[in-house]
Amino acid sequence: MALRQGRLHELTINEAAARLLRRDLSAEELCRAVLDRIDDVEPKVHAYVTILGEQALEAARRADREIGQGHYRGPLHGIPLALKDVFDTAGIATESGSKVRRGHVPLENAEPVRRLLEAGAIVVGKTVTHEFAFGVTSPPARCAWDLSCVPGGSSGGSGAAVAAGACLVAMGTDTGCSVRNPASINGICGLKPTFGRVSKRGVTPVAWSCDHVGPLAKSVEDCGIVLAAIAGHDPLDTTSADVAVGDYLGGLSKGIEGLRIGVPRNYFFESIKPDVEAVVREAIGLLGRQGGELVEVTIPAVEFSLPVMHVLGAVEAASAHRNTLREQAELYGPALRGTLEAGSLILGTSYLSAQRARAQIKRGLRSAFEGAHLDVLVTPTCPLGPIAYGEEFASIAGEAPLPVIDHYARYASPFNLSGQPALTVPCGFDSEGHPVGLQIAGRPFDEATVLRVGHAYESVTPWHAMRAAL
Amino acid sequence: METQLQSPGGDTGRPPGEVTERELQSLAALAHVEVAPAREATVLQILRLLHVDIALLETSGLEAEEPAIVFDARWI
Repeated sequence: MALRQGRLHELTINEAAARLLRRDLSAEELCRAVLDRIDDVEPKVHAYVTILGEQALEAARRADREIGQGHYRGPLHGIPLALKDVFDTAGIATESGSKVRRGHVPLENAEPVRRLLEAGAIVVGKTVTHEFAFGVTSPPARCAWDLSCVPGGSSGGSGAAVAAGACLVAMGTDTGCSVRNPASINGICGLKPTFGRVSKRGVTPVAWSCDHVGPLAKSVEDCGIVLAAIAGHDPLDTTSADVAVGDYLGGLSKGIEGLRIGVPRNYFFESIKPDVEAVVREAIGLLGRQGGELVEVTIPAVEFSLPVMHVLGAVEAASAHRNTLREQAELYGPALRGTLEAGSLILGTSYLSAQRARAQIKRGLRSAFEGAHLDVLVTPTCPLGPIAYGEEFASIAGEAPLPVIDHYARYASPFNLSGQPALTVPCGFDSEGHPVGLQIAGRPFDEATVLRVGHAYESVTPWHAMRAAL
Repeated sequence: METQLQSPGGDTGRPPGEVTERELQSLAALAHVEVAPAREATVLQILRLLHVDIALLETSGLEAEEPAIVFDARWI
């Protein structure tokens, strides 16, 4: 590992935007640097399914003309960005990692893509997703920090691409962990905004009641920049919330003096690798030394998150795929096909049992926040780092092996069930040299405080500036 | 008061999740899903795990008084 060296593909959005605005860097130069980097690292990380070379360069030249004419759109103008291949892109194949969608070319952009393009971002490619975003290993993509390992998922291609410098920022989706897990595994930041904060129109669904859209980026500030561009009500998305958009950047540097930071007594430090726990507890201690008021809390019912997630995920996905499962079942990969078939056979009463338990988990989190007047809750993002490529099970500290998705979604999924915003920031390395993430969850629609805490942590630690040696 | 249908295996004295091949095919027929004999083992394995989860939730005492069909993340 090494601290980044200021090469163009290593810039954050904020750094690149300042140079683009000063015109000591052109969008075309930046785009070429990223495309060259993709050429260099793609044979190793396999992060992309589609690379838009000339199309991206043409968009970059257009951005240069606009900026030159004084029509600067903001900090995403001219920034090379990648999209998980579940976001519809007009005229560009969107296959969701599945033979079921082979050759599918949407006519319109997904709403988050439309907003990003409106903000001037340059799409350099589409990234690998686990089939239909249902899974956490994202083949054939690899972890940028350890090419023998998976990049996490389901937004594994986006995580690997950002960590490898193969884009400045990427978009992902998160149903149980799928932005935060690959961000944590690849040593970068990832934000799952509040349910309803960002439109999902034109994004392939997994489980409607748990799906979220969010960025994977090199810094907390970059997450805020992207959120500012994509947040806001979409009347054509029935899950979109008509809630005022916050100021995600103005308060970033306020520090965390006096903020009440919850530290869970239960669940979130169970079944975790001891070295990962040590790193996360050190990070939490640092938040305390920065002036945050650490408050231990117990969260009722949260230990039922994984069973609830399993049932909601399987049943809602089976519903979303009902017609194609009947007509084209042979085109699904065996793992997803089995899950969809099994999900089709769950009783409605059982699904409602899961939704009712979900309501109690949400209440448990709410009572912890309100009872202790918390501003945020901090936890590990994942209990372990990347697993070897090709593995589907992992064990922790001599416990029985579990499907890797159970490990990766364990601490992240409660916030898909509650809908609260949750951010992961890199907070060190485990004993194998793999990145570890700190998860910061907040009150609904209070992404600003989540980002503020993450930025405060990042401002006194080097981890976000570390780059994988590729 | 409420009445709930039991999950397969849940009212038969068998362990939770213990779904049989015959039950699988009955459920599949009701759901208009075709599970070929060669795929029965895979689907049964996943279905059994889901029924273990369901049994856990249905015996947890967690279920709220009211149905939680409508989801809204807002509390403030």
